Amino acid sequence: MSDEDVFQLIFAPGFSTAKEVTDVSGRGVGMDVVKRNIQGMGGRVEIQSKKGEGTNTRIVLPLTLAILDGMSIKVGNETFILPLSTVLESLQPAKGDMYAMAGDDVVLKVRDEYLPVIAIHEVLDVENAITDPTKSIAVIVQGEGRRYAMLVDELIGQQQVVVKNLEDNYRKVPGVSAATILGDGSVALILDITGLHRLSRAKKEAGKAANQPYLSYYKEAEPS
Amino acid sequence: MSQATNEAVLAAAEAENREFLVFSLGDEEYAIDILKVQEIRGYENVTRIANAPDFIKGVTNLRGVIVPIVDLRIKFHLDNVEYGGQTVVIVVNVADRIVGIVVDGVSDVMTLTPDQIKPAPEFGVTLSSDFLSGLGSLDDRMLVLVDIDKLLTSEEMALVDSTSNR
Repeated sequence: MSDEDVFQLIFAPGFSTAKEVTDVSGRGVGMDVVKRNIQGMGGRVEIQSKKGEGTNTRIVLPLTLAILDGMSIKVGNETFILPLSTVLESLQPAKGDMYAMAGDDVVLKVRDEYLPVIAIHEVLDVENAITDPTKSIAVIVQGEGRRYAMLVDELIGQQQVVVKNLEDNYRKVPGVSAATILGDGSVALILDITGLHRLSRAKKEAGKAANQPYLSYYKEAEPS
Repeated sequence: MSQATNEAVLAAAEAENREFLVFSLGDEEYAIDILKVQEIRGYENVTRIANAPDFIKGVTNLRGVIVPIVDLRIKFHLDNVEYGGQTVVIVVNVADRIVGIVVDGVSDVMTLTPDQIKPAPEFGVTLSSDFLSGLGSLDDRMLVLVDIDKLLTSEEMALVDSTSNR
């Protein structure tokens, strides 16, 4: 573990160096909130420290929150935007690199790393999308420290987009952080990586519960 | 009676008259308070929102503002839901929000006097009478007066976050 990684630990939820804990302080919450809020705005925190010399905390925030570097992707007939800061690389998955895990879950092996696969057309119910993973494109994305492989039909390209809030007139949508208006006047949704992952898990669990009604029966019959 | 008081009486009577925008959903005629209406436009270019109820068609770009579009025909369980040249979106302004509602057509603006507005009867499963401000009778026509404020901010429309304190 490098020193930078160690310093990042103080942002971990529940991590505390306090000797005494009161009802409100010393519980390892504050710095976690700081980091999450900064990340939510598209920024990052870096800590450099040397024993006996001092600590340098750098908070890097984007100049404006209204403009975002995005990667437009196509799934079926729909266009979505992935924040470019989350995109690491994209590749065409080979059949041998995809492994099924515990039934529904699929992982993709990328350079000796196994990444959970999120098929956007499944999570967002997109019609007419490419369902064969080897014909689609896997975009490797990183969100909140975790990496995922997102299956999309097509990469359209990089572009800067103006972020428009969905909550002004509508509500929060799971898996979507905001919306933007494309050159042709249509609206494209900006995807939220971790939200999509949560949504995909929730969907799979809901699907499992529907397919295996006896499970919920057992839960009811045997309260633990 | 002096002329001033006469005018005041007339103004009071006029104030009680309310204007409604009449629109059709299938063969039924509905009306909403015209003061809630911002504009009327065609149905076009709606971006679908995943995992939303089916009557929420998605969002559209209204001069740079992202506006949700609700299809009242699906919400009210009408059989014939088609999108054509006649399909109209009424953009309404309720609770500081802009929402577009899809209807089959907009016919006219009617002024109703208080005695033309009858109380809504207690019934309705798909359209609870909570969301009606009454029934308007106009010769042999009946207008269903929808309380668009209450309807669009209701929990079952899923348009507003129930957790948000707006």
